[in-house]
Amino acid sequence: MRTLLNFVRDAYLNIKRNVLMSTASIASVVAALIIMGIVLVIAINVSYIVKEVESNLQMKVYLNDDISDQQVSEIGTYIQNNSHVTEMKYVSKEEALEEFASWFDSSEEALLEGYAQTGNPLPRSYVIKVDNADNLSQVYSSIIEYNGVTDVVYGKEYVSVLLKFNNLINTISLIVVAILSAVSLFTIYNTIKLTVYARRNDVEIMRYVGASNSYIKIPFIIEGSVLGLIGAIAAVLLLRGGYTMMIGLMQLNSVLPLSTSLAPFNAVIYQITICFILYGLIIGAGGSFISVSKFLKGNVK
Amino acid sequence: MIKFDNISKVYNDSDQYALKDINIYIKKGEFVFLVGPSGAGKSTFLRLILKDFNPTYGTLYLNEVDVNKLKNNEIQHLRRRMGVVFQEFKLLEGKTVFENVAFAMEVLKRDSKTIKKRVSYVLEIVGLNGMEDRYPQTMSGGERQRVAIARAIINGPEILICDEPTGNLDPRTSFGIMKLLENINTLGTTIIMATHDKQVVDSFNKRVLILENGVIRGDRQGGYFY
Repeated sequence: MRTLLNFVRDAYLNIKRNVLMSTASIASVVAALIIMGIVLVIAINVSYIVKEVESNLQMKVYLNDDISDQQVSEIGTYIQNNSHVTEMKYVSKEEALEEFASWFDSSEEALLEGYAQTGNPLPRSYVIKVDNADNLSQVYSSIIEYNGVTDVVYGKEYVSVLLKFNNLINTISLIVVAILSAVSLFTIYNTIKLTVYARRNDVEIMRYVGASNSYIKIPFIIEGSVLGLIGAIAAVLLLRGGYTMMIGLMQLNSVLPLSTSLAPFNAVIYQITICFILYGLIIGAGGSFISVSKFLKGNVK
Repeated sequence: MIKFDNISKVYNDSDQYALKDINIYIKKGEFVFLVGPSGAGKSTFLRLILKDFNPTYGTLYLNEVDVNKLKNNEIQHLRRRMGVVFQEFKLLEGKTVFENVAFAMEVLKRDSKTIKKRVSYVLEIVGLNGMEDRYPQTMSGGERQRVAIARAIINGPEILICDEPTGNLDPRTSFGIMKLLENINTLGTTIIMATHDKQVVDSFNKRVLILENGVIRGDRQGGYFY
């Protein structure tokens, strides 16, 4: 316990002593994390929008007027047996007409009455929901060929574009995260390298009195982790401020269609906070570990 | 205790021998001066004992153990049985005298009660009692070297390696440091000391190894500077 306290105290003193380099490291982590944060916020929101759209996506299965009620019910059973179908509702000819009528105001009731006299032309249908937008086309193919089904309608092009956009954003996010991780790791690595070099006397003495390699490495790893952690916390606070401001602006400007589609603040910030803190700790500890290990290896001939 | 068995050392970036065909035996409790001009191989000789690197040829034995074959964690244990004193002291400037000396025990994870007791005892041996809270930069060269010696002997080493410990000190201070090292030697610690200080070597009737161009040119008990 005392040794651990010594390690933490040494790490704190080193950060204080090398305040300029430490600040540079923290700033680099903050910059990387903010860029990463912006990308992540976009990715989380796109995936949120996709989920929203997915949960509202309806597929309409229109049925032939000539088939019997028994055949209608068979088609219903067939649709329900598809594991991707989560909800199904039957719409009769009358219900379809009522819904159609609700689209018009009372002045056009005569038009509807005309329809009533000549016979209701609207077909029976099933309105279904599917578990995932990716499965829409598969469900479509399985139903369209079924005997008695005249047409199956859903926003095919819209869904396809949305899915492509979602995949593109995810790929970009991964690339940005990978590049910025390498940049942050390299910066922390260099900071700790300078710290190790500045403290080469300490390291040399530790080695000569028989300290184990892990004893020598731990204070540097703690130092790197603390730098990463401070950077992560600063980035989270800045992003939190920025995101709150953005939501505020969008609520004020209700003309923007996105305003209703932004992911809720808490969902975004919790995910990002956890990711960033883990990221800061891992990058900080990793960069330090590589740096001090390389130094120790280079000094043993 | 320490046996150089036909040892030669060539550094990777050189084609010259830093040490060549060295055959030496140092007994437990001996005090050995290692003398010779700059570049003669004195530091290489000491660094081989400290296991900073392996010899290119030959075998080094410490207490009949082949040092070349030690694994990493065994090297740490080997070093715990040695103390090192450098010409430039190598003290930690941000730490007090007490902390500098205690540091060598903390590394070995000794408990704080033992550390406190032992540091006070060793500071008394080296003549620094009452200076526990001073910082190295406020002390004279002789006092700083005493701190370095205290740190080197705090864990009771079997061997004390001294690389020009009086190199930065005036003759009077050097004499004090030598008397201290002699006292430590009489307590049973083997001391190997590289030096350029003719006056010191000539005044202390010890074994003298003379190195020149990596080769032993002389080995005399009670010898004089070359």
